[in-house]
Formats: sequence, C-alpha cells, structure tokens
Amino acid sequence: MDSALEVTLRTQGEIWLASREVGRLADTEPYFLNTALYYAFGLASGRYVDRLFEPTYLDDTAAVADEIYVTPAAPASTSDEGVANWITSTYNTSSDDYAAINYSAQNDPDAKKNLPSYGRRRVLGHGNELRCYVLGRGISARELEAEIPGYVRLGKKRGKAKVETERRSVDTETGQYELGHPIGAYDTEQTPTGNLLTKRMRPTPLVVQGSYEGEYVELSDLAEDSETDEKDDSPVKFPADVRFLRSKR
Amino acid sequence: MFDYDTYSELERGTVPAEEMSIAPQNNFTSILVLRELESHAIFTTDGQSADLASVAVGSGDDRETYSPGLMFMRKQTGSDRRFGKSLQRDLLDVECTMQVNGMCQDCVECILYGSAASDDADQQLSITSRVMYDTAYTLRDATAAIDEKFQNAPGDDYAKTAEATIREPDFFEPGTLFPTVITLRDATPEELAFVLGITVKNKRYGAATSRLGRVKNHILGVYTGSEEGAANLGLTRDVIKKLRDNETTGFDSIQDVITASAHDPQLVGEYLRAAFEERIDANHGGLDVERVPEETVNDLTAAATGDDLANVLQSQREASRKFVEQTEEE
Repeated sequence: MDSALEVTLRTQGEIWLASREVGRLADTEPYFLNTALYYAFGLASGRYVDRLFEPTYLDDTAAVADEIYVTPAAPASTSDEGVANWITSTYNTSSDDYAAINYSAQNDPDAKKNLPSYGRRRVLGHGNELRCYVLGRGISARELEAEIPGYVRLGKKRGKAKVETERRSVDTETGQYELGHPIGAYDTEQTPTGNLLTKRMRPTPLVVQGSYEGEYVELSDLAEDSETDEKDDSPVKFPADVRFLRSKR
Repeated sequence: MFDYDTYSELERGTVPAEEMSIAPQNNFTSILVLRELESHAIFTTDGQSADLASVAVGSGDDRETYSPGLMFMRKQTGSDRRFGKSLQRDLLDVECTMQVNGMCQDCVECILYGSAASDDADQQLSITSRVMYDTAYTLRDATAAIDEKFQNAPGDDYAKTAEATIREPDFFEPGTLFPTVITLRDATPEELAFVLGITVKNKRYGAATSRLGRVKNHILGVYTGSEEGAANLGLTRDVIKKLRDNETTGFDSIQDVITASAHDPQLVGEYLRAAFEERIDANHGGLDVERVPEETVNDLTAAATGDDLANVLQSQREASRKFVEQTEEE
C-alpha cells in the first residue's frame, strides 16, 4: 500500500437499506458495504436498466480493484450503536386513481403477490457519521483525493451524504495485529487467529474485529511534528493483501 | 430539441437524447428550489404528528439545536411522480399509473424516475431512478412553523350519540419555507425540461386526500457539472446564519431566526442561491459545478410549461425507449 485516506461520510438526510425485514418492518444496519461504496464514489458504474438480476461486482470493479481498495463504512463513534440519529417512519404506496377499490384481505386479488403496500422502516437519519478508508496501490494520495467526490448517494432511495477526506501515512509491518476497522469477509486471504466478530450482511458478510498474524499495513495520522515524536496511539491496521472480493476473483 | 450549439452550458450536466447510456456517467444537474407553503399542509408519516428532526446550527457563542419540521423526500417524489404521470396521460397517449405493480416501464416518466418491477411477466426489468430528491427542512423551529388544529366531525343530527370524532393533526403554517435541491444524473435536456415543468406546475404536496397543502415552487437556478451540488441540510443552516447576520432583518441571534413569525421568501431565495454558490467555491472544499444562465433556464421552463411540452415528451419518448432497448441484446 502506498497511500491512504480516511473518509468521513456525514449523512444529510435519511439513508436506508433493508438489512433485515421483519414482517412489515425494514431495519437498517449502520454499515455501508464496500460493494456499495465503489459505486457511490464513482469508482465503478452499474447499469440504469437491469435485466440480469445478478450482481456484477467483479466485472464492474475489475479496472480499479488492484489500484484502489475501499473498506466498508462503519459508525465513526463507538458509543452505544455508534449512530446518534435513527428515524422510524411509516410508508404507504397509494395509487393515483381517483377511485380505488378497498379489497378486504380475503378478496384482494394481489394478496398472493409480494407487493409493497404499507409498512415501517427504521433508517439512518441526518447528522450521523460513518467512516471508511480508501487505500491505494501505486497511486498517490492526491490522485485518490481527486477520485472521491464531495457528495455521494447511498442506499435504497439514494440518500445523500457529505464526504470529507484526510490523508493517512502508511507503514507495512509483519507480526500479530488486531484488525482496526471492518473489512469484507472475502477481501483477504489471511485467516484470523482469534477474537473474531463477524456481521451478517448482504451481499457479503463483514469481519468487524479479529486478531491476525502476518503482513499488515498500519495507517496513522500524518505526524507533522517529528520533535515531539507523538505517535498515533491507536493506528488502524489492515491485512497487507487486502483487496476487494479478493478470494472471489 | 435543445442542442448544445445553442445551450452549450447544458453539455456539462446532461447527455444528448441519442446518446443516453445504460452505464452511469458523471453528468449532474441540480435544480435549486425554494418551496413556499401557500396554505396549511400536512406532512406526517403516522397521520397525526408532523415529522421532526433535531438540527444543530451555528458555531462559537451562538449555537442552537432546533427542531425543524420535515418534508420527507418521499412526500416530494410521490406528488411529483403523480403529476408527471398525469401530464403524460394528457399530452401523450400513455396509459401508465402509480399502481405499485402497474407501471408501464415504457414511458418517459417511468424511465426517468425509475421502476423496480411490474406485473408484466414477459418483461423482467428494473429501472434505476435518475432523479434524486432529499428531505427538506424548515428554516423555523417546529414551535413556530407547526400548529395543532382541533378538528371535530360532529355530524349534523339534532341529537347525537357520544362518539369520538376529534382529531388534532399537526399542520404546517402557510408561509413556511423549505430550501430544496433536486438532482438529476445523466438526464437529457428534455428530461430536465420535464422535471422543471413538473416543479413549476405542481402545486400540491403532503397528505394527498386532505385537499390542502398548496405549495409554490420558486426555481432559483439550475447548475450543471460533474458532481452533485450541496445538500438541503447544509443549505438550510447557511440560510439561517445569513438571516442572522443581515443588519436589516433585526435578528440578533439564531434563536431569533428560528422562532421568527415569518421570513420573506424573496430574501430567503437570494440567500439560498448565495449559499449554494458559496459551497461551489473552492474555499469550501470546491465543487465542479457551474450555474446555467437565466435565459437557458427560462427557455427550458417555457418549453416545459407551454404547448411545446407534448413535443418535448414525444421526442424524449423515442430516446427513452431506445435507451431501455440497449439492454435487450444482453
């Protein structure tokens, strides 16, 4: 790894995804997977019209996966759920006809279809901060910064988030280390030695924490002040071989 | 309809109708709108209490956390989509509805605003929306902008049985202002005209069956570029600070601004435009976005609100169909 950015995503309104659907309630987990962030940052492009109904992550990111690794985003603060502002709201999908028949549940011709009618959703509100890291191989921090837009859109209804970036210094080391930030379960070949915590998400599970042994990269604040020799006391560490959907390629 | 020789500034944020592509590119157009309530309106998700948020604004000595009322993103798309569909039914021979499973996925509106699925079994399509709306926030605190109105439906019989017919829903007061941005991505100039037309002509938002919620949408500008413009939340904060800093308005603190009895839409419009353009400036992180000249916006709006709209939609319809057909070879 040659360069790294710490990226803060500040939500500007509701952002939601259906991480869990419980009857008529859809709940949002406070994580954005890198399968979404590659598209949000404009590093990969999807299609406006879809007939395949199959994910094409590998093809869409083939051009950038070797150069740029984007980690999943997780809440920036570690207090309670890490997210300060949830909103639960009711939705309904009414048609625009002037007169519509209100069928009883027994007679509704659409009862057998899985159509959205009404329900509730718990979503991330505005003012939440999530953090992710963008790592570059053979690409400078300035070039990385140029790739990242000022605002991105995420989630089911394209909620808006403001993007702020800060450069980080990168050192490669070998030994035992603790994963410092969630990564995708398929993003590294290294096997955790213990202390493992995963989170089931779709389409790929997350490794939220874990102890590893091997080559790793360490991201720390750019130490401008060499005299005081102040080292960042909790640098973020990643497996050195980390790459988007590595074991699937 | 709108060629780039005449309207060169549209080239930055739109795609020509014949070059619409299935793969997203970075053509963004932001429409800056100030929504002004001209009557009472209901924006609620549970039928009773208004949607609220809590927002921190200001810095240093003058900081406040206030509770703006919200105009949810869905309250805007829902109404605009219904209006767009009815425009099409009027002007083109399009039978398309807002029924969840009854969208035709073949008209200008479906292809621009998106449609996840239809009940047409031999056509398995999902179309991603290229128009994006965001939740809008009032400038004033809910205590000033929202009023509970006592409603009673007693019937007119001389002798009444005891029934609970009283409701007290939250109404947004007339004059409430919502700074809003509508973002289009990879849209054609014709589609931009369509959205401008809907924005200018649509005057009802909120609880659809309540026969109220009249809104005037002031279009303050159109901006094109390779990325998005600023978000509603930041712009609303900026406008509040500008109202405080203005000598003539007589507001000394943020508290005064968010509890004021009214704000002048003209002045707020000027500040909103200034706030948006300041955020484009390099000092604020800088955005690759430029303002489209007034004449161009007027031409587009005139085409979209006059008799030309049928032609605009007709020519766009051909392009939209070709755009969807691109996927059939796969």
